[in-house]
Amino acid sequence: MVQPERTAETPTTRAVGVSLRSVSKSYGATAVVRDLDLEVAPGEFVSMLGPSGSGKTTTLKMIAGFEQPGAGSVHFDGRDVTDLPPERRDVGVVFQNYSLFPHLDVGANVAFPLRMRRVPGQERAERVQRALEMVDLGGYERRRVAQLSGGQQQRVAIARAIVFEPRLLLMDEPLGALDRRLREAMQLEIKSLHERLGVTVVYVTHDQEEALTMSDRVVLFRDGAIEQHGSPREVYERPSTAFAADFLGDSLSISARLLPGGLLEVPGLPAQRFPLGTGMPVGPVRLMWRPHAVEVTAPSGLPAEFSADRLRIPVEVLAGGYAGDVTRLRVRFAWGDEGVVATPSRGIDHRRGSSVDLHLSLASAVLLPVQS
Amino acid sequence: MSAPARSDLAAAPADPVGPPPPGRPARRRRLRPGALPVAVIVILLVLPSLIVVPMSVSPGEILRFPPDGFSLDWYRTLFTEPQWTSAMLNSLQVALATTVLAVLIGAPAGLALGIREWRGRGLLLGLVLTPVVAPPVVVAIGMYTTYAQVELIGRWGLIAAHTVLAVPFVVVTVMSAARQIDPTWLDAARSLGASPLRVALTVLVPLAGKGIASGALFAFITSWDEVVVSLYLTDPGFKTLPVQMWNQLRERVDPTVAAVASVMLLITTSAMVAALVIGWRRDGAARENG
Ligand SMILES: Nc1ncnc2c1ncn2[C@@H]1O[C@H](COP(=O)(O)OP(=O)(O)OP(=O)(O)O)[C@@H](O)[C@H]1O
Ligand SMILES: [Mg+2]
Repeated sequence: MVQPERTAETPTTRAVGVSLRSVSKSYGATAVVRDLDLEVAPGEFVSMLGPSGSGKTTTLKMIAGFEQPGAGSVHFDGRDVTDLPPERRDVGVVFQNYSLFPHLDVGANVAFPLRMRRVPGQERAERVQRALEMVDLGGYERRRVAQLSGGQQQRVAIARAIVFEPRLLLMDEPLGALDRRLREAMQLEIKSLHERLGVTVVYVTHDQEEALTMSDRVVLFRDGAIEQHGSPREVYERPSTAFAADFLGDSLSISARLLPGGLLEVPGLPAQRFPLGTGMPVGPVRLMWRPHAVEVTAPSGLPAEFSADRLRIPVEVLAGGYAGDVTRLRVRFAWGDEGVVATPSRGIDHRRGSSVDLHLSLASAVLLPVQS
Repeated sequence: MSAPARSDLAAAPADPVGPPPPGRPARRRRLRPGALPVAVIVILLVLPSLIVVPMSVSPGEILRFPPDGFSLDWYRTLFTEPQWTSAMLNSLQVALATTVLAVLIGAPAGLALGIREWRGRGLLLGLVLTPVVAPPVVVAIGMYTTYAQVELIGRWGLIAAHTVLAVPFVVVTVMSAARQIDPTWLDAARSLGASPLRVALTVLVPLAGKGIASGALFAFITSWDEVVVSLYLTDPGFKTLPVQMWNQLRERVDPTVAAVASVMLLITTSAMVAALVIGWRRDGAARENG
């Protein structure tokens, strides 16, 4: 898969840009997608991430044409395709359960879209062979689907979705049914396919790590609307809400208060001048740090301290989990806030009930609005 | 990537002759608990039906068992006398027309009922199955009175009535085949470029085909040996085989009736066996795929 291909590939230069404009969808009385706007650039790899039931699959189905939006419109390269049936959208779809046709062998499954397009037999066979080679299943044409492992079935499904050189590839949790190691290998394969084919990819997952490692851009869904979108680094390091911060990974956050005059107050400590412009109204806020931005040291025995732009706060260890190079600690502040930090595995007592000092820099803190 | 792929494949259970998986017990010599009911059915039902076969080759004028010789005269009568030949042709005609109509109506209904859940599904299924659960005489009288209003009697009346009786069988067999169809296969086919019609031809029909075929055979049998409704709906110029037989029995009992019965039995049994073989092969295929 990763080694260079000998066969001349035809990179898709026709990658399509997708835009959803004020799209809504309800089933009965429940609004599943609410007034959603989304732009996907040609050739971009976009992940839709979000909790179960947040409307990711429904959105994908509206892009594929399996479902009609109740309101709003879907555009490919600016052209309105809202009323175009799926078979005329030229979109490859990969489903979580592979959905290979059980009455056809591997070759016939991959040939299916070419047969629908009346590609002549000789060319069809060549393209099927090339697509199977691309997913490292060369020579598997005559195999029965039921004889393949889950990972192999999913690769056949991918071959079937790319063999007709679609302008857009949609994937709905394609790796959800695979074990972790296979999943990680397949993530790399899909990424490299994306690069070689140049096709636009919209990828649904509820695994935040997968979304962060694979995508050009992550779109975070919540209750049928987009909570935040941006590059993986942006959404991870600069989440705009507490929900986004929590969903995208472990974090440590403390409640604080913005006071008039650019002052910040942390529980139990005198207010300090906050060094960054916040754009946030006076009142309660949360300060959030990702685990890698927090320094953990052995307890100094001194009380908490807030000086210049640094905080030093003693916390209680609730649980420690050794994870190879780093140890993850769940900690609790004296006033009750809890969070997760990571520290190099050497030199720290991470037993339950022990105490450590946290060093927090305001420059690396993210200021989040407090949810009502 | 390629090395684990190959070893996965080697590990896949490709040989169907391996030891049976745990859930399925190995075949044993001992009599199964089902043997007794089967024996009762054979003795009470199958043997009395089969007795018409020897009776039909008896040379004498009266029905008797055991036969007092061997003669095919009664079969000659059957295949030469116009009242019998036309009844046979009528029956075939009605049964074939019924089969086609019942499949055209029942197969789409069975697919719709079997593939996805939707509101009102249970209600529709109940409606479709009514003709099977209602007593035949009630159905017959109901059909007679309504069909007579619109002068739907004779050939077309019979075809219509038999279709109503046969549709449930098609629906049920197709529905059980359709249960194996994952609705995402239909979405997949659409996204790969198949119009709804081509999805039906390339995905639905192949996957539900055996269900449709056994449904068609059941539909054929339903019409072929239907007598109660037919008695009401035949007109003097258009009789089916069971009706002709019934009339004949009331006048005079001779071995022609036994010959007719044997022919009917042969056709019905062949259709049943075909339907069973199809069903059995389908189960086998499902097990192999599952
Ligand atoms: N056909 C349907 N009829 C009624 N409700 C539906 C239907 N399809 C989806 N829903 C509802 O719409 C909501 C959003 O579903 P959707 O499948 O888009 O979520 P998702 O983000 O893909 O979730 P998951 O991560 O679990 O796949 C859910 O509450 C679901 O129950
Ligand atoms: Mg989903």
